[in-house]
Amino acid sequence: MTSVAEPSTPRKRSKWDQERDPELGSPPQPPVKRRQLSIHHADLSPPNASHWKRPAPSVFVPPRTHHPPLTSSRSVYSYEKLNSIEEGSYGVVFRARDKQTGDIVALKKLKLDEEKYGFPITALREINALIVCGHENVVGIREIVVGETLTQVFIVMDFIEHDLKSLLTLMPSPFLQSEIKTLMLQLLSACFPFNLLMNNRGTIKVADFGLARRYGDPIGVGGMTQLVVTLWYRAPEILLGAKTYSTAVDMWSVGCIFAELLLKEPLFQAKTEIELISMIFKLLGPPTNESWPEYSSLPLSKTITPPSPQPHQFRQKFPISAEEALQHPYFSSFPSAAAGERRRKPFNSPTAPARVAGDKLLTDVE
Amino acid sequence: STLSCTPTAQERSLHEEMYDRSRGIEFLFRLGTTIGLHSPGLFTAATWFHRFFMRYSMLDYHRQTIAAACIFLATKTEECGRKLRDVARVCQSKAKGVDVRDIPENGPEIEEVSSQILAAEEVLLEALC
Repeated sequence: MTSVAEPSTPRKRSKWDQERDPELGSPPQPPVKRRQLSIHHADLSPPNASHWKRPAPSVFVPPRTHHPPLTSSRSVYSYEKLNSIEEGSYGVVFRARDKQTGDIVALKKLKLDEEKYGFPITALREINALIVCGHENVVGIREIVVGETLTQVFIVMDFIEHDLKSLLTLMPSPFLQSEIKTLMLQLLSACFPFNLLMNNRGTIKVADFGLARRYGDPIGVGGMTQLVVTLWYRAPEILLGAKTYSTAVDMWSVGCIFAELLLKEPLFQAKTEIELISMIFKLLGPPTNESWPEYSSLPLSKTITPPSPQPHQFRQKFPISAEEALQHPYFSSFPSAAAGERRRKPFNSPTAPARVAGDKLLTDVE
Repeated sequence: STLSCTPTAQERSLHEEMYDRSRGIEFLFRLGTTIGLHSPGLFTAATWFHRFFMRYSMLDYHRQTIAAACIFLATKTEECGRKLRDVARVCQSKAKGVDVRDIPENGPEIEEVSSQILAAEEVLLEALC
């Protein structure tokens, strides 16, 4: 959890720093009687961990400055909060300015209170995934900063101008075909369609890794979590209670976003899971043995009756993989992703609306 | 060198500290193996254990409590999830030298150990970051 330099906040050690002069004087005497945090006191009656008071770090510990290679996380106060961007179930995101460099960044506060089992594993995974990833289409992580207590941990990320959802609602006309192609190409190569952001140069960044998990990780006792991804983008196998799933669920979400880019609104706007699954089957036709062999083995497949077959779709093995999708003729046919279209000035990638919301958007459309 | 000026070594002696560290690591490995943590996880936990006692004294924090907290944190970071209750139970059985089956699954004893592991985890995280 170590990141960039600067000694930690003075809060904990300061008391000792004042009391002792490092060079002069004899070392302080250690306190004689101390209560120890020990599991052995568990079976003795009265002491209780909640009554146990945390001792300060030992007086013999040299200050951090004596260990230049061992630097602690910076304080959140090295950033100046500008405004809050959005609030979700996962936490709050702020726009902030680095007081030293003046860079504008996004600060994501992890939701850590109400944790029964210590530091939450989802937070550890998210930080880990972001640090390890380093992909062009994944939002860049700068560092981790901490606040006063351990319930305040922030991820500092590059600030990205837009999120796709509000962009879609703001834009007066849908994206052009060529724009959609560039976006889809980027999306497929990242293939983590959770929380999408877009900067002014039309590069998509993936931002939310709260539920990311290294594919191929050993699965614990309980199997994988069944509640992943916003309902609208959830793949049918998750809806039907599959215990394990693969990157195919991400491809499903990519497909939903593809449709959303074309339609300018989400494809399946369902309120409940049942409604969603019936919408899916209505659009794609009921699953057959050829199109989806595993269907009948899914836990919840018995509980629903798919609509009667329609003479279309779901014939191909579905969904295809990200590699296959990138080879699809769609991306090489006219209008190609790079060409741009003629009804506006030749941009290589889509322009995002001006930063001032409500301003004239897409100024050059006829 | 700095390595011989740890908090515990100055309050007691380097010899005693080394002895207690190795006992703590031995406990950590027994606990970790029993709950089925893989080797990289064990080594991670052991490193944290040593790092922690570079900053805090063994008179303040018992080695077994910290070992348990290191193991519990490692199960989380190494994607080898274990329930806190199970870690607490195995930990208690190792500490007392009794069979796991003789430790009740619920009850005040496990509650107490669990909350101590969590308290230790908090200090541990702070010491590490």
